[in-house]
Amino acid sequence: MGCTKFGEHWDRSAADLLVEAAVAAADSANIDIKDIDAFWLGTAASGMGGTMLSKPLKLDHKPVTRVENYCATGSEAFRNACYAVASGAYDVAMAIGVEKLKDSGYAGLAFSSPPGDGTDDPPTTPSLFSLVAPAYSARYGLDSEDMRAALTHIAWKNHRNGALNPRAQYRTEVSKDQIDRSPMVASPLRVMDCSGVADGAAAAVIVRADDSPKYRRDPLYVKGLALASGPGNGQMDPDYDYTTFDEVKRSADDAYRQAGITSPATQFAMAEVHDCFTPTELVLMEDLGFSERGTAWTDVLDGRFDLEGDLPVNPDGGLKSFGHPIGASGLRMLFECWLQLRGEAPPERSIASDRPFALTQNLGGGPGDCVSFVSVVGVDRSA
Amino acid sequence: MTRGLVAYGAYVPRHRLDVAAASATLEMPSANRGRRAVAAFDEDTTTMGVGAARLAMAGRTLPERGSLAFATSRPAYADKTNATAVHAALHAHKAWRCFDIEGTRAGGTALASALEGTGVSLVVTSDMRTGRPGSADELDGGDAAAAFLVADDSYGPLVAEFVHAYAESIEMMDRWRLPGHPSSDTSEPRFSYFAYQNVALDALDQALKEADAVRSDLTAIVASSPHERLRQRLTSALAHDGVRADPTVDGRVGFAGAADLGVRLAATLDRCAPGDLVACISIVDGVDVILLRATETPNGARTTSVADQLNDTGRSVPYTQFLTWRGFLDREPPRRPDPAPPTAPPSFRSTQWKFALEASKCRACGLRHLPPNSVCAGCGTVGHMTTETMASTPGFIRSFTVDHLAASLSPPVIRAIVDFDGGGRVRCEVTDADANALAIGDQVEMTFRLMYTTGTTHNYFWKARPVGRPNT
Repeated sequence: MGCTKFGEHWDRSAADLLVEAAVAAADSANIDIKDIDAFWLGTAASGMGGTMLSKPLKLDHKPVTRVENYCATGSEAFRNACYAVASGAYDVAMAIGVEKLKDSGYAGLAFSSPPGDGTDDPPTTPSLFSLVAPAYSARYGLDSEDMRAALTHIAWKNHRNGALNPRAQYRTEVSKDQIDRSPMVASPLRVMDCSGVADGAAAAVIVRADDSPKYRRDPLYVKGLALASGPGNGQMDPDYDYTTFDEVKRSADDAYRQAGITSPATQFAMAEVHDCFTPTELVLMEDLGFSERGTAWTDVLDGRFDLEGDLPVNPDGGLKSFGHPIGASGLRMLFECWLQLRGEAPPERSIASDRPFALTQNLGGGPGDCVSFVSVVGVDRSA
Repeated sequence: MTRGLVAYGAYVPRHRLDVAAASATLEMPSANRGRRAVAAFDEDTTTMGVGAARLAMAGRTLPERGSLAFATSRPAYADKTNATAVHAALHAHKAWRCFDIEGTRAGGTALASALEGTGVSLVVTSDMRTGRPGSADELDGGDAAAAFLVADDSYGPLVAEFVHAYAESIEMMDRWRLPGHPSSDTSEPRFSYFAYQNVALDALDQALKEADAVRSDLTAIVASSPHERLRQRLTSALAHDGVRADPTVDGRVGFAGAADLGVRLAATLDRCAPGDLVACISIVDGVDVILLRATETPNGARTTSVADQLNDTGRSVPYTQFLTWRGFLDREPPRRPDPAPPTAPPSFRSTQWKFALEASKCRACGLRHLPPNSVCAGCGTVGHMTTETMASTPGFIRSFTVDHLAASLSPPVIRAIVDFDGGGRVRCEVTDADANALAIGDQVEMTFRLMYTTGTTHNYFWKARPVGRPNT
């Protein structure tokens, strides 16, 4: 795998980032790019079509498929590339994702929609996810200070992790006080509850497990891959209460079943999850089965998901401080699993665990109307 | 067969501008100590017209055939008929003749023509008045709408019978505006007072004579003019004959252009007694006189009175915000993309949803779908939906957020999840609300609004608005 730094790369184009990530991943796999059979390219808004990759890399008429699935685009590229080699259609595939969000000049994410009737004015993404916090508080009896403390801890944890990571967009620790006082964006979310807007790219080289010894002795194995695209009922069904993402639960259940995970709370060495906003990460802990319903907030405050905790979540800083170039994020999550499980993470953030599994969870869309990707990866082929 | 008003409704927007405070901002003296009504950034003459028409039509269904006259001096669009948007928002049958009448006089003439006509006629008068900052048109103007359902008594009981109408027209440079220009030119008021000096009283006397009546038969006068002095002159002259002028809107709305006569008439009808003879006199480019007699049910048809809407303290807007809303201050926007305009084919396909807030409802399980869908989210049944307009269904705030990032002429944007009585949910903006005072559980009603204008295209849809006393 390969992964560029994420951040404001004013001086680097999408093509520049793609080349860097592709070369890094190919080198890491001890393979020449020209020996890769097929490519899956993930980008939400930074380009279209296969030539977006084949032109900068000067590929010799190889198949390149551009995919998009909102913020789960990077995972979507990975998923498709995996099926391509698993089916036997190709022997070596590359999944690569890129985004150049800082080229737009806008604050926050801005998606263009197809022509419409004007009744679905896309809300800002913070305003979508902000509804999760009061809903969770109301359902489980938290007062606003409890909720604020839990959200702040999540932001603080992810910034602390990112400070240890040379590839992250934001590499300074942020105090809890700074988080509590940051300006309001979409109540109750403040600036510090929101992930960064960044440029970046990441890539993976994928082969069938039987072929991996040709390339390296210490691959990462894909144990489970799942995607759930929900019916999008959240905004029209009064039964949806904004405290859960069914799509996450369903995709997690599917991936766990494939991988033979029976106790998600205790079988993972680490997890990379979609912390687009702090309340999202909170709820994900329950939807992924890491915490019982209604208790994730206390687990958070107890430090259970801190780097030194029993189940480190987002040890690389997460979307929050690593940044969220949409097309790359799902692959960046896998990149941390790649480093950590194979003992290549730098010592200041390396996780000592004998659990052989890691999880990535990548969300696209909003509460009640989203897609969710879950992967289970591991270093033990037989586990 | 008697003809008259079957129903009426007036809509006064919730925002107010303190005239003295605005004058002080401009370092101008002001004798006017009142407040004027201000249409919000998300209102225009079309949306206010819909507001008034819905109040008039509350609890009623429009017949399959009629005519809809939309009178305003500030149409949202030239070229395109604006009355058709009002017609669509009322979810009316297709066989209606909808047309716009333009000009400050248009409200009086539209009502008189409808009363003298035949068939069912919905007269919707609506206006937004302003001028250059500090002008009389700005500070003495007002934004409001009033609607009248006119028919003969075979349609239903009348709240006021039509007695007689009389009109005179004068070609005169009293006030004029080039289309698209932000303000009107006016002649010196003393010239206008001269030109109009006896016109209104003489016209009233002529109308009364033609109706075999005299001034002392009158109970109430409804006088409307862009010239406040002419209006007061007329009402004082008639006060000597014992004729009262309802004071409800004085100093609280401002001259509301094409809607002014209608709003004043609505306020008068709100307090009429059976048998009252009411003279409506509109003095613009001549004079229109309409004589009406209140019936046994003068107030039966009203849902929300003009006084109710004015007794709510209303939300005060700072003068700088008023100027921003009216386009006189081109403020720096946030770094967000311009919203995309609605395009014709999708808007055409979803006209009922966009203009009438029509949901689909599954015939198998009853689940309401906003926006409409052909596959049921509850039971999965395909293509077995019926339709249901939700515009008049009350709801409450299930959750909301105050969005400081979103681009708006009036940030922050309040986005809410609204659950409807009897089922159904929609995600929408909340308007006419104080973000600090809004709470989960607050009751809301749906209101037709201008979401934004992007380039040269308006985008209309529905928002939720707190009911009861507005938050100030």
